[in-house]
Amino acid sequence: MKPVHSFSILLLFCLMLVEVSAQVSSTATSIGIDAKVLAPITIENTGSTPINFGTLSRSSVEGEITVTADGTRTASGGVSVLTSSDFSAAPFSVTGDNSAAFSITLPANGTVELTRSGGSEKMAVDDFLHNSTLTLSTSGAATFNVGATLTVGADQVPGEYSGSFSITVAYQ
Amino acid sequence: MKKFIISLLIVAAFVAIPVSVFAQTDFSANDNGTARARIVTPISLTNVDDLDFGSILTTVAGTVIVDPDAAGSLNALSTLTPGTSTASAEFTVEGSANATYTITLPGALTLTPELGTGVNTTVITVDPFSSNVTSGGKLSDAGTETIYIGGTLNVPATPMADNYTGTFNVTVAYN
Repeated sequence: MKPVHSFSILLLFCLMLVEVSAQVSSTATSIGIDAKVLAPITIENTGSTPINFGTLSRSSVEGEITVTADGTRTASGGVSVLTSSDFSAAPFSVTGDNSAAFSITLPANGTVELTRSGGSEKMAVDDFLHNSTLTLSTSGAATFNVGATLTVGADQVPGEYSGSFSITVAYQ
Repeated sequence: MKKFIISLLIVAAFVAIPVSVFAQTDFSANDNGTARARIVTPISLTNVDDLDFGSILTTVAGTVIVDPDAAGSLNALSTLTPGTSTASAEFTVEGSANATYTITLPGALTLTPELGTGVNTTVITVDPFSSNVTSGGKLSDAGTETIYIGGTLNVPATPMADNYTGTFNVTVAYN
């Protein structure tokens, strides 16, 4: 009969209304997050090998002796070298990210001295130089040497002299 | 007839999540190196006494051998005997305490006749030289050592009477 038909139509309309509202009220978006984790950069004085200037004979005139990063030794002024005495540049090894570029900071002039063992006499070490390419290999490694110039004073007191210096590497 | 009223409330909320990535990395690293040198006193040599073969009277060839020691005595192997005493040359080596060194003696030396080679053609040589420091020396705690130099004087037959003299170099070097 007629009343029954009207009720059925009304119910259908309500249900359709609800569905449309649900679709308009929500959206979803994804946000990308980017972060790169680097391997820590490290540096080590290989074998604790020092910059060794060797055995030097001093005179009444000041002199200089240079050990280069590439492993040569030269003397000038009033100091002469006992050529049979051992000498060395200091080797360092660096590890870090593959193929990464890095910088090396060596001591500034006037900041490093050697002191006589058993005494207080000093000699200045300046002009620190390295021979690094400043790039880690594809496996994240690099090695280089550090040399410097020692100033031997006039009538420098004979003896064994030693000292230390700081070196810093940093990613670029 | 019932009316169904359906209320549907959907709340969509976007919550912003702050992301702080403090990665556990070291962007720089530091190490210490050392440097060292040994300073020594230059090695030096000072002549204290000359090598003296004495006065020789001979008509036959022969040798006069002076020992490289403090006494500078005539060695028993000598075939000639000087009428006056002989003496070794004495040098003082100075340098860094306890340092080792090598000594280099001269080769054969031909003495010069006082009358000149134009007048005196006799050739007298010192060959070889000898030293009490044969395989290398070592300086004392005070950084010194005394070296004695001796040698063999070679005299030809019927040498002309004259004073025969010469100078020689000795080299010492740290090793």
